[in-house]
Amino acid sequence: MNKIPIILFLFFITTFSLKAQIKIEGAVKDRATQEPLIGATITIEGSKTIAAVTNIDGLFNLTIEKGQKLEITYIGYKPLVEEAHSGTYYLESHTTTLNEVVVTAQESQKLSTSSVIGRQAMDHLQPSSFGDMMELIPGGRAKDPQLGSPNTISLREAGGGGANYATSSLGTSFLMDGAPISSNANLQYVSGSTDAQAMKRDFTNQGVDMRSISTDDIERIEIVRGIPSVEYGDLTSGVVKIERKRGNSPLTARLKADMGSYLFFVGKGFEWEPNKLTLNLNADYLDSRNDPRNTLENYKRVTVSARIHKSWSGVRLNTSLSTNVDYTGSFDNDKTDPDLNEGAIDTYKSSYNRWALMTSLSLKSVENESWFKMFNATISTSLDNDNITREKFIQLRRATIAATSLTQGESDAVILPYSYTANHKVDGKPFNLFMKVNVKLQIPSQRVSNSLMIGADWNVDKNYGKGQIFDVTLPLYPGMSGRPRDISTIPAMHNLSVYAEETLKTSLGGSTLEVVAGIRGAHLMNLSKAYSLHNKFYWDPRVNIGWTFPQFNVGDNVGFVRLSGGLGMHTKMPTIEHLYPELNYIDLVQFNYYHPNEAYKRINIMTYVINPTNYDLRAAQNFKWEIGSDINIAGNRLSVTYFRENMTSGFRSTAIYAPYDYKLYDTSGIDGNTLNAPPSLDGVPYEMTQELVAHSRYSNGSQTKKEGIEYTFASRRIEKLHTRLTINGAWFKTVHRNSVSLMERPSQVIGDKQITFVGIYKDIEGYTDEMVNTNFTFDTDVPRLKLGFSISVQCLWFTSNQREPISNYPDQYMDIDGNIHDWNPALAEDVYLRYLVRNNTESMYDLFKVPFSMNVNFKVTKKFFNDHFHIAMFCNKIWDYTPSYERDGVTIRRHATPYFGLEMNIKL
Amino acid sequence: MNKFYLLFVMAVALTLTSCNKDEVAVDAPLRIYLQLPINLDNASLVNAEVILTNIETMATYSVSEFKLEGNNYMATVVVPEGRYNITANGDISYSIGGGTTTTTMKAEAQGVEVANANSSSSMVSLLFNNYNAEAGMVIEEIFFTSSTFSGTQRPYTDDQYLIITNNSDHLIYADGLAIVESKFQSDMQWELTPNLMKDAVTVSWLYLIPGNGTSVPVEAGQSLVVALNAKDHTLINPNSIDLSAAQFEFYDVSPNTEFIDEDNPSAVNLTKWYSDLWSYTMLNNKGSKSYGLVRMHSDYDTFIADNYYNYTYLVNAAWGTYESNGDGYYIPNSWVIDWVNLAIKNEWAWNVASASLDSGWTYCAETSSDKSRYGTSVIRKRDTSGILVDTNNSTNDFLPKQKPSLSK
Repeated sequence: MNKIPIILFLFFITTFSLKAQIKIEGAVKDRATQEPLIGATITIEGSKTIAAVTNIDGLFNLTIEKGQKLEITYIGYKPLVEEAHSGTYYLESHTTTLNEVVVTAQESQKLSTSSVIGRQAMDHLQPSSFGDMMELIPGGRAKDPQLGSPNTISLREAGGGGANYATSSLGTSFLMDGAPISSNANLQYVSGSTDAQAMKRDFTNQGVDMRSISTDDIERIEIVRGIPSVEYGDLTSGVVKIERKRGNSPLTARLKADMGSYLFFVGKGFEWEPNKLTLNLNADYLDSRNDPRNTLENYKRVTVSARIHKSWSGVRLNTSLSTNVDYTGSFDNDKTDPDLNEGAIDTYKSSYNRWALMTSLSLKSVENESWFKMFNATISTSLDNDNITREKFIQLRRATIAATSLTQGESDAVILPYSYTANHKVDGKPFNLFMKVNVKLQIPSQRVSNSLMIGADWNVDKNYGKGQIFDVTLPLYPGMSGRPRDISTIPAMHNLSVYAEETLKTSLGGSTLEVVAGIRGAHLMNLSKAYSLHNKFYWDPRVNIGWTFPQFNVGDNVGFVRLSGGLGMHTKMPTIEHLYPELNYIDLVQFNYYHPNEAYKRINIMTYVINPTNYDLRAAQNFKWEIGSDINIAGNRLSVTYFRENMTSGFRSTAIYAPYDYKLYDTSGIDGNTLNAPPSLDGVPYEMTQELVAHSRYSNGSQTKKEGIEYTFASRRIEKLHTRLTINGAWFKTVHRNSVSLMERPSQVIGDKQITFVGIYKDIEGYTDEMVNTNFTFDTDVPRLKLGFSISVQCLWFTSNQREPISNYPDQYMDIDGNIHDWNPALAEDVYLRYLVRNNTESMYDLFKVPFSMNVNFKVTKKFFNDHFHIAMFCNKIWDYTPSYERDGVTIRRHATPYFGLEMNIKL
Repeated sequence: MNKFYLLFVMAVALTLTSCNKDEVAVDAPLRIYLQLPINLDNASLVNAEVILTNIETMATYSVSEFKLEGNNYMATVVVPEGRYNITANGDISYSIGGGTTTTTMKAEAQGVEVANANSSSSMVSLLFNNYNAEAGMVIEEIFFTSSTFSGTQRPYTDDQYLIITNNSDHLIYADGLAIVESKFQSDMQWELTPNLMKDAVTVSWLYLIPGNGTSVPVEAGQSLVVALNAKDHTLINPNSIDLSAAQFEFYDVSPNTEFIDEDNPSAVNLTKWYSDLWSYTMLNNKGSKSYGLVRMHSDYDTFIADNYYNYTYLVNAAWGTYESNGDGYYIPNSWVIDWVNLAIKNEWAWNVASASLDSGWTYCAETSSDKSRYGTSVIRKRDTSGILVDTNNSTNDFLPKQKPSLSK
């Protein structure tokens, strides 16, 4: 930092020197990608001092004597010597060449660790939904599409962990052309569900369903796995930035069919060159079945998109305006064949209908010396109409009741009919409004490329739906204490964030130093004072630093090495469901009178209405640090990153036990023969008693600790073979464990009472998952034959799972009165308290290791008729090596079945 | 039994024999060895009486003084030459689950020859069986599959029942008898540590027939119906059974709306001692659990405190073997009056009780998803004289997959 005054000093010297000469304004760009090169150094030929450095937009200006030549150098690029002129100077990269076909994900050149997937890679991969892209990032492996249930993202993670560890996927932000795909107001779960149909499709609080993102209109994807810019917030794990196609493109149609689905896409881009106006239109339809033989369980997706872009070039400013209108429909159907279900109805339907509108205005300064660089304002909004409809014929196995009271107190339960059809609807209308302003400023400098970004965003989530709709007297889940809930009364959630970030790039004695440092503050508004989040600001500092050593020669080729590192905090605010969970109803049967005449039966209930809101709920925070190196030699590139992430405050649903009073009536004195109506409660003897009952509450009780190494090696294309080798993979080690004490009540009944103690345990669970994989992808591109094919050898060296040792003893326990006592070893002998002692044996902590397996995937694309027709096919697991292995003397056999698909593309 | 009595009996017997047969039988010594079950720890004989019945004369002789010789208890008795049926009854004590318990045992030998050989005297070894079948009370029927609704064929599980029958020729009081369900399943074999299987059964629930000891008299040949829910289920489901006449029912008190049970005042509620699940009790409708009739030898508090059983077992999962753990209550085999092993026919892996309690098993389901099991029962066979067959081998003793006896 103390170099800046010197730099500024030099800048002044250069600017105000007295030689009256010509002034040029130049831009330095990558010839292949047309991207501006930031921090390229410009020297006047013959001189050794740096005359200028390109700024954050790749621009520079310089005053020279006429006829002088400029030497422009940039690490990783061939130096350029050219006569000085105003305009663009193109540098050629050592690694990528013009028109290079890239069919794999590439490591971004930016400081934050990220994977970039281009259009060619997507075409070659032949995806059906966004989830298929995950194969390309380090640690990924081709998987058969599972479109029967939501696909959530998992970054840098081994093993799963389940819903209690979903903050990892919830905390991955998806941005579509800069507008968030918010899932904060997703309340599409079937309350009280115990059936697979509803449970496996519930992804509330788990982030974005990647199935619903079509890939055909995407130009470029960047998945930030490392420490993202502070521009991006409300996340813990990473950012997925999706940029869609813009500009002229021929009418394109794609028809894909694979073993479980077919997809049809059509799109066209229009461009009116003189007006700098473009319009892109596209639509797609996906129809998939989990099991091709079962037509009753399917998933369908419809997307329609229209995007307009207009730009104006001015003397001082370039202005552009984009507007996107999108519709996404995502439909799950699951029906049991009535012929196989004794004629009974059993259907599940879930539909997501999302309309999104976004407008983005951007002003860019074309003046190099201006302090103002860019202004960007984005406003986006989306409204969903989401419905789950569950209809099921219920036939009770035994007499069952329904509690219906919506208020605290005593009431009679409804005795359910033995046969009925239950209807349960979930109506959700999540609404999202997002506004963002972003300004980039710079201190004009000849020596240091710098920019200061300042911005703010405001995100509103609200759900206007009617929520859980059902008839309590004909419930879908008999016996469960659920009640309908209108979610439209939940207040809107407002998340206001501000951020500032400084980016610096400078050359120091042949080396290059890059620093990106910023801070983001986030704050939830419109929250009642009762919440500890009220008026609380979360500050996320994030820093990435890179140091590139001077370029060196390896024979005729050049090499360079960059070391980088970063650390940062990442904060994800709770969702609407976390902040406003549905009320819990605790219904205790206190009077249970049976009479052979159904009309004289009576069941009386004490209802407690519990607001399970955890007012102390905090945001989930993930701290990351990483170090990495990027080595480039003769056009071959190796990127390696070691990272650690620790999030101890992930969201978790926890059981909170407390004693509740109720009257236990003794109905034995009632003479059934004298009744002509249900018996009165008056005069029936009772005893006041208590029951320990749990309600569920969200807490910051889940820890996810990630550690690992990610690596990508990309070779230069070997010209004679037209082949390039990409090796990528990862070692991931992930620990999932509870980070708050949890309560458990033994289920055993001694006498006629369930054990009346609740154990309180620091440790409930802890799992360490590990995996190491390497994918070797050989891709061959023969331009003369218009043929491209790839063979990907995907090795999973091992996966392992191990439980962390936990104490067998509780730390505390609760008695029937709700008092909490410390545990002592003598209690393990108590007739009742011994049930609180767990009996975990050493072997439960054994390491489970699944050894090596390998799949070979083959993909081919061929273009015909002047590229108008293009045919592609893939076969995953065309060959595999998944040997059986032994564990404890048992042979475990494994299988891999090939998965293939075929597609046609027409471009007119 | 004292020696005087023995001598007296012998004298009478000798007199009778000599009178009837008109010839004097020669006395011969018989050495009787009582072998205690080798599977019991620290077993010792508390008392025993051996009765020898001469097959020809029907004269009886008895001996009750035994001395320890090696691992066996031995006595020598001098009786007239001939063939004898021998029965032994006695009490032994042994260690189990950290404590000591006493149990009644018996043994039998048929047609033992006693001859006066000069060189060596006759001998007989009687192996004490630690399974003490209280001759009489047996489980006659278990309707565990429950029925289905007519039309939809969906399960209706509330009409399960058991019938227990006095199979003896005398009155028996049923109160104090317990009905238990096995903790372990016959379709999932586990390697248990510690393994009490040879000495005890482990239960997942235990219900007692309440009474003061003489409250529930059951005449010879009479039965008790124990219903899951004693009501006329045909009013709800015509496919079901009228159990409103059942004498007893399982009733689980719970404040939980999910587990509500019905208490029909016309049937006496069984007393619940233990269940490993907070839900309502049901019989396993596939038949992977087994059921027994137990005469409790300790009171509730002692049982709950002393018979707790904590075990580990090896699970052979598809991905490897690991040790898991569980708990329940154990009941010494000697307390068990009758035991019926049930299984899913094609998925039988082991019997969850010692072979001395039941060396076979019976079934209703062929496979675990066999829907034809619904509405069928296992019913004990009767011999030609109408007596229930009880050879402690349910494969032999039961008729599988029968129409429930109480269904119309």
